[in-house]
Amino acid sequence: MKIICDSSALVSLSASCLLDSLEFLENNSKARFAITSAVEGEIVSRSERIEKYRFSSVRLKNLIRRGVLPVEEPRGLRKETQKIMQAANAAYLLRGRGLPILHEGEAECLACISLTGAKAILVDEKTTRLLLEDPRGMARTMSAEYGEKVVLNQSALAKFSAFKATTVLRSTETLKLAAELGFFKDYGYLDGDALSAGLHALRRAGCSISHRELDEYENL
Amino acid sequence: MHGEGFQAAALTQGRRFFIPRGVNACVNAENLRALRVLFEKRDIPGLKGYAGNAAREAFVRADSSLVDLSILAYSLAKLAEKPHIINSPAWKPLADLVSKKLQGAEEHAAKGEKEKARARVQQALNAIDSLSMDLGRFVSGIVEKARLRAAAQMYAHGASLGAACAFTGASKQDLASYVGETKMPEKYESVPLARRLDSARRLLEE
Repeated sequence: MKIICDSSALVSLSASCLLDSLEFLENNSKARFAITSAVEGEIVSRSERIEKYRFSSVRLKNLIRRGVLPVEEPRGLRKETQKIMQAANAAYLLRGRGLPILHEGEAECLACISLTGAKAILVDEKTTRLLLEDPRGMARTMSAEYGEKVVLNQSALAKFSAFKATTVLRSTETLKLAAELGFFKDYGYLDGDALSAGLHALRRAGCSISHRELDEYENL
Repeated sequence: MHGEGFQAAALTQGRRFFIPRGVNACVNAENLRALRVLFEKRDIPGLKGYAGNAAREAFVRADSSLVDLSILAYSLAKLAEKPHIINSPAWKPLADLVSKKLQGAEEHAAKGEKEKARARVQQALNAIDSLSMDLGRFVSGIVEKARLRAAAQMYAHGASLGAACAFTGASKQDLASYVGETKMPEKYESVPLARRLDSARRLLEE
């Protein structure tokens, strides 16, 4: 099952030293992760120019080199990416103008899903997730933040009805699933602590998960 | 005081940002003057409020020149609140230079010379960066921290991680970890966790 990865999730996993969980899932389930060229550009090319993130860039580059994170380039990707960006950036209106909420990397992930039939996206940042799962909720949150009404443009939003069946995963979910399959087996009796600490580390590294949800994980 | 076609922004929540009616760019003489006055009065809360508003409007209007104003305002606030900086001999020359650059930017903006106005703002930012040579490593992080704050403000107002970083030049890694240290993620729950995991487990078996 193909899962397209956004750079936000790879950033959290890398910062938390949990990138290995992706390969573990590939070796122990039918999951197959992939990225797009825009994401490759973000996590490799851009990061390797920033000294403190260079090692992270090398690790991700190695995953690409070894085929754990192949780069998908379906035909029509650029055109579909532009359509998705235009729709997303016209979906939320403030003072009559569309808010430019989505960037090319995130839009390209969605376009890749649309063109390849992938069933899931791995994304830690909140805008892409909420656009697919709770666009109205995002409008309410934005209205509260602005102190002004953010209006939904239903015709632009209609573009995203095609993603109704797309499962949105965060790095916390992939770690949990990896743990269920034995990722922390080598930790022995510490495996529960390892998972708990790993989930919290992912949150601190940028995964958009609430503390309430982290508490819920403790009780699962 | 305000030219025709300009109006003060809503004063709710202490916003003091002048938004021109029907004009795309907000790097105008009024905004630059407001920033200079805040700085010369050493109004630290005012500078921070200005920085937040400028970042928000930069996102709403997709105007990257406003990002420069946000970064400058926040950087000046952070510098001005450090006694060891404002008491150092390097401070007065910097403060005078920043005021001069902002005044120059105002004059250019008043003539409609947007690019020249923006260049003056950039020169002020460069001067702050250069101060790091005199005042040590700490100061050199101020502009980058201000950039990150602007990005976080945009993220809080709806921008994706990628969009916020593209507008401000902040790195995704820096912004992600900054957001991770805030309460922002508390507001963004959607699908119940159990349902999300069940869907994922089914997919892993396909």
